[in-house]
Amino acid sequence: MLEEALDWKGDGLPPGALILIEDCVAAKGGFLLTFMLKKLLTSSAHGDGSFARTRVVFVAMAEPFSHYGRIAKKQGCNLLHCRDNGQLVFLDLMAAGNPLTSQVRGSTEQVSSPLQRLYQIVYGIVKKMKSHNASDRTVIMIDDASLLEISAGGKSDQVLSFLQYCRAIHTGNNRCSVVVLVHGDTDFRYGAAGLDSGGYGEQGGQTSSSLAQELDHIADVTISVDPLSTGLANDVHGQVTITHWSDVLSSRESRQGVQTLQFKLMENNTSFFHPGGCL
Amino acid sequence: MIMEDNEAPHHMLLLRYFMAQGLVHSQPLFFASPLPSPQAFLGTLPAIASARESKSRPMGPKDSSGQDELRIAWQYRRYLSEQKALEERRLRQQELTASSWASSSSSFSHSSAVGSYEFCNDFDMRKPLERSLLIGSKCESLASGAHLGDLLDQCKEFAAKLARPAGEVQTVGRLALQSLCAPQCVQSCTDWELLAFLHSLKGIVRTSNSVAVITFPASLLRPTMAIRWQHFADILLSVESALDEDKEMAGMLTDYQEIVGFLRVHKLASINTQIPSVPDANVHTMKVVRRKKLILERLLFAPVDAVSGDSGSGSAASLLCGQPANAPSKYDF
Repeated sequence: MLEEALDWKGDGLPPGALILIEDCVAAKGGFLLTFMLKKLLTSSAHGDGSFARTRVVFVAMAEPFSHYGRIAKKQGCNLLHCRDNGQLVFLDLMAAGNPLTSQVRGSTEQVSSPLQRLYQIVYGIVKKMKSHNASDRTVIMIDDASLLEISAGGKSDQVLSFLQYCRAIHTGNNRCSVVVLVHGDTDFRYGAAGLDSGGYGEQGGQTSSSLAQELDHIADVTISVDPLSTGLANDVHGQVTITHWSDVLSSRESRQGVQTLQFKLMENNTSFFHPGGCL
Repeated sequence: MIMEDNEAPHHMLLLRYFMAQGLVHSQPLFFASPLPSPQAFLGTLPAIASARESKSRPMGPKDSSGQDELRIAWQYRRYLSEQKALEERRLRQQELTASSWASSSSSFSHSSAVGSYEFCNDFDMRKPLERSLLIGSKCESLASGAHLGDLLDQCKEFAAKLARPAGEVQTVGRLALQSLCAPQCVQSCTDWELLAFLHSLKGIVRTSNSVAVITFPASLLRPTMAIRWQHFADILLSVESALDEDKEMAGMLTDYQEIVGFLRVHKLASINTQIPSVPDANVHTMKVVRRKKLILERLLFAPVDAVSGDSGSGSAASLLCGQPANAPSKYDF
């Protein structure tokens, strides 16, 4: 059902597409990354009839490989196998001591910023990935952009540049597409701090827009994950709102505007249904 | 992570229990705090409740055999099983707050060199912890500013010492960081550096046999920063203090005079699974019983008397279904 809402025909993502997933503290969006990862790694045919694989570069900053591996295994996708045969390259940046977190030490000897270094690494990986076919597509998945912003010391423009550069990497005939997760509730649109309003009252003193707003502006599709307004429930874990900003994934005539679906997460599957449709 | 309350330091009660539990079970402890002397704080950790008191917790099926020791009138026996259910729930809640880790599960009942204790939450706050148990702890004071690079190195060193080859009994280490974004701590670093520190710490904890409990005064952070801190937590709790005199609340809650605050569960861990844990109850009351024990209970409201007027006792349903006063037979209603 999510594929219909995204107008995703089961093949790889269109080249150069930017899919944005926005989540919040009460409803985490990581499940969408594993959902899409599974679809991308198991799809192998493109719409034009050619047989090609989708390769994925996963930049993981929020969770280690074991977390995604176990979840994907329960859903029938073996990430270890994909990693061994070169279809998936997993960058585990969660452990301390990786080049991005050395910023904590306040070293002034860095020539390039952490995100520049990361871009060099990702670029090198994409170029080295084996391609059987010129029409193979590459997707770069990032979990998550808010941690990239922390690595960049709060400079959201560096994160935006990084993502645009990633989108522009060419492999064969195609550009890479990017799927990125960001925390939408760090934005001023949500008003005071989400769960705990605390005593600090910020009356709109800050005029710069947040990373989530800026990403929303450049994304082709935005999927927002929100909790139910009525609170937590065991049968429905939240809702997703899909907004198409461009015609990259679906043409304007065929898509249905902004769509809202509710979802329930299970060990081996995620089920999406229209609001009120859960049994 | 625990969001502190502005008014009262109830998060320290939770930290005390967390640290005492670790030390009693010979789990290495690392404690960092803006207090000028964290060692002195360790002296206020509670001791294990004495064996006699813990055995007096009643066991259901053995009631009849216990009649010689404890004569309980028959009409109160049902309250004993409720009490036992409450204690079990509290045990589970304490385990939830203290167990946000991704490492392999360790068996908590292994005996230690000092003395063997079964995993327990029973502590007596009137007595201080034995000095000999404090040996396994390392303290760091952040009173002169948190030098995050050094703090991170110390945490990494602490976690590295916990690693054991496969096959040996694994040791779980506990890190307790109190009031991490307090003014004394942040005078030498920026908000973003603190977030980077948290990210690195999460990586250390996730890849080692350690658990970290971090308390922070969320109200001192800018709203956007407070939310970013909340995103880092695997388990997110907040503590609120209860007013000393609140007649409305006292009417709604049982044992209001013992309640010191409320513990709210915002988020539970979902590590290695995509299914979110939905807690049975979001709010728990924190009670200090006889200044000795901390008890966490699900919020219970006293039954609201729905019927006003003469009838006083009994609910509306029982009135409607009850017999009229002068009914000729019991089937008339």
